[in-house]
Amino acid sequence: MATILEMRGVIKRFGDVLANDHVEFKVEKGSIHSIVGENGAGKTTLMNILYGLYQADAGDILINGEKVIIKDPSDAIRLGIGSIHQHFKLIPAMTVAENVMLGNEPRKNPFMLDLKELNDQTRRLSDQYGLAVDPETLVEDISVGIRQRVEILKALYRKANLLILDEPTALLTPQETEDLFRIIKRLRADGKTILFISHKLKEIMEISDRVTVMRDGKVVDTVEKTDTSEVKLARLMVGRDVFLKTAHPSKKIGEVILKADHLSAVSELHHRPVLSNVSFEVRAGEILGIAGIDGNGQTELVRALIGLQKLSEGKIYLSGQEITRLPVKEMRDVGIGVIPEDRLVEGLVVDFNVQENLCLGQQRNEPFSKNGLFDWKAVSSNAENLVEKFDIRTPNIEHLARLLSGGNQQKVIVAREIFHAPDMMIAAQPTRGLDIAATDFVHEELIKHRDRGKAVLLLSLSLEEIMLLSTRIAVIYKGEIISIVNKEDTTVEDLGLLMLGGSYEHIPA
Amino acid sequence: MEKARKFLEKNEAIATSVLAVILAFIMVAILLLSTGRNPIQAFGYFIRGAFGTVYNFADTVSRVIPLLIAAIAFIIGAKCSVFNVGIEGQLLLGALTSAVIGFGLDLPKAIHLPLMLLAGALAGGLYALIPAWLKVYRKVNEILSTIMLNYPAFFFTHYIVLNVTPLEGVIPATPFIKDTAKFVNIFPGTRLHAGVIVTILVVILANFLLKKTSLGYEMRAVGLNQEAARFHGIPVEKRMMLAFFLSGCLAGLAGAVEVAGVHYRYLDQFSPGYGYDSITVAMVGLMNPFGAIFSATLFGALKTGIVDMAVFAEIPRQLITLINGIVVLFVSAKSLIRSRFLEVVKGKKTDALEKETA
Repeated sequence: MATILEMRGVIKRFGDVLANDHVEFKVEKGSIHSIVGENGAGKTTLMNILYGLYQADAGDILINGEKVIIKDPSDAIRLGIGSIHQHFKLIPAMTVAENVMLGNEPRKNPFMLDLKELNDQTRRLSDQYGLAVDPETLVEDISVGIRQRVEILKALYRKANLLILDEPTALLTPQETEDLFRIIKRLRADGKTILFISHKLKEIMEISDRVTVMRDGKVVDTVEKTDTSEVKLARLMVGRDVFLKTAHPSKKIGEVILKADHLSAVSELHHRPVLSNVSFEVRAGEILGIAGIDGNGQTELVRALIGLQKLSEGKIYLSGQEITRLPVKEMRDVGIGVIPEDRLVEGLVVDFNVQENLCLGQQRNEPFSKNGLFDWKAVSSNAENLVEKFDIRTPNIEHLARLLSGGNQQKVIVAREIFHAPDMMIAAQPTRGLDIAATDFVHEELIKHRDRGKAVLLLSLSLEEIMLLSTRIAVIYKGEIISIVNKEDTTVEDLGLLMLGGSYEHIPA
Repeated sequence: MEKARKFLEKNEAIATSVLAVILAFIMVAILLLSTGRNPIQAFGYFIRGAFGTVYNFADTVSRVIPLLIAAIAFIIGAKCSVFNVGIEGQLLLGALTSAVIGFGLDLPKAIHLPLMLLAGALAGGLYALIPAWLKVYRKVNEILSTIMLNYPAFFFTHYIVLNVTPLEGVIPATPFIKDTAKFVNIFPGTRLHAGVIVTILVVILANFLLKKTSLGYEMRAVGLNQEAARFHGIPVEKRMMLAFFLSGCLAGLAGAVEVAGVHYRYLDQFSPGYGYDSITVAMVGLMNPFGAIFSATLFGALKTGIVDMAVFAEIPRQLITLINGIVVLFVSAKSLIRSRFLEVVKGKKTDALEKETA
């Protein structure tokens, strides 16, 4: 087969960091070629170079055997390269067709769009690849999975032969992922070449023809899918053996720690119900996982449980004591810890340094505060202690949190929250965007916390994570808890259906 | 060389501020050269005028006092996400209120002066509660509301002085305050008064509040990330109200100190824009109370030194306004200067786009 893309000795440097170090690999025409690596391995940088967003410091890019220079995305598009970003670049208030054609619209005359042609062309393209997208709906009305297809359509419309898909499954449900894979295979059958960027090994093994593994900016190896396995890939990625382990089950389950009793809430902005009749209990020594597609009330549930979301109805109890409507500070003080879903916005004050962040939430409590005075000695000794205990990689405790890697930022948050040993730990998307090693760390800490006889509520978009850690699993859909089951009694597939609003009756036995 | 680089890198914020000021003076030098004047000589006059004699120096310090207190007012707000551009108005109200207490009451010195300062501060603080409430509970952008609220303050004080308080002579002003309400003059023959002690106290206390108290920690957390602050139990709304109030109090105090130390009465339109200058002073001072000492000194010197420069180097007044403007311009362009500066020092671009996003 012919080689459509070849990278030769590509180097990209950011200051002292070599983001891409003599990257070399070839991609065969009409294949699905995956690039895997931990966060910071240089995958995205490499793709940005290919798409013309960055310029390589050295090295060559060959398209169909010819050396090319890609100065900006328009060069890339001209060369038949299309990029489907992690974050979609669509205009919500426009229709699908308008988004697809944007910048290249068919016109009746210089002043008027040919709307019919616009919609027809989009429909034809959509049908050709089995995308099943209605050209006339507004983008704001369609789901994340469909939006992604619109992005694919955009690239196809611009005659892309080489499609870059950067972490395309990050926001998708299992079903949507399956659909996407079907589409990808259809594109391959049609002669398109796919560059699939991911760090999810399972998906890589499912979809790829060949895999290029990157670590620390270098290409470690390029292998045929048939010659490798998840474990082998993981070893190549991390550079050591990793245990894709299963967590040991809960040992001793004690009494109820947190009780949510018929919680309901409406959004302040739209006055739409965001939580309705949510009831559950979390017991000491167990992890209750809450599975669900993003935006089904998880954010509001977390906020409600720490006193930030106004409840229209319902009560919250902690160890039998009602704590509904307590101010946030007191909720935290009576024993609720939280690992917020967005570490940069909610979890950290990124322009505070490490030691200031490690006492956030405790700024009015002993030993950090005495008679209103801030005790910097206590703050720094606490920080030194946690940095060592949780192996937070930071040059010093006066380093700004902004400058830490994502994994270490999360470690700061986890260390801070775990250290106060709250009876109830709420972990919202605790490993989002983390690489294998950091994910491992967070999982281990949550399990340890559980085994200390504390309760953990885990909200995650990753079913794998839910299945790995939870003792029991609840599914949240449109602000409602539609099922709570023991982990042993369910499967990823069942949960996936429930997350989409199905019920157990719909699941074929 | 390597050492110098490391030092500059570590202190890039300070270096950038200094660089902005130096660039401004270079621009001024070019301007002077182009009009056929000798910039070295002119700057010589400038420095002599600002710091050359004990008297000049004392005068410069007296100019620094209101600027510095007002700058601290801005800093206290900004640290907690409150951008109080209404310092000018709060300062005027503080000055008028203190003047009224100063001439209207007969009290022993131990009470009269402190009471007068307190009243001035309170007037500024209470006036600031209007935009504070609008911002915190009605989501009104405080930059707009505070700018606009400067006008009512300006015209209100103007009206009071012309129509309510007794006029003595032709100058629109309140009567003189009692001796018991005056700051002692430290350097007879200059305007330097004991208000400088109050100023130093304000700087130290502001720094203490921000760095050494839990309240200050919370205010800074609110200033840097409201959402995180809220998540970790900090009452964001209350902290912002407080910051606004404190900022207004300090603005009012700046006005009161001017009355008690320099004018001894409320002189209509006495402020040459201290409130507005204070924002630049705070920014050049890197939003740090101690940094503000240096930048306030620079801007105070601009006010006194420029007089000598104008007289002896025969530079027209208009050019002097321009000098002021150029300094402000360069200081505002600081972030631009900063990124260029870092490029030179570190040999790399700091464009946000360039950061690894993988």
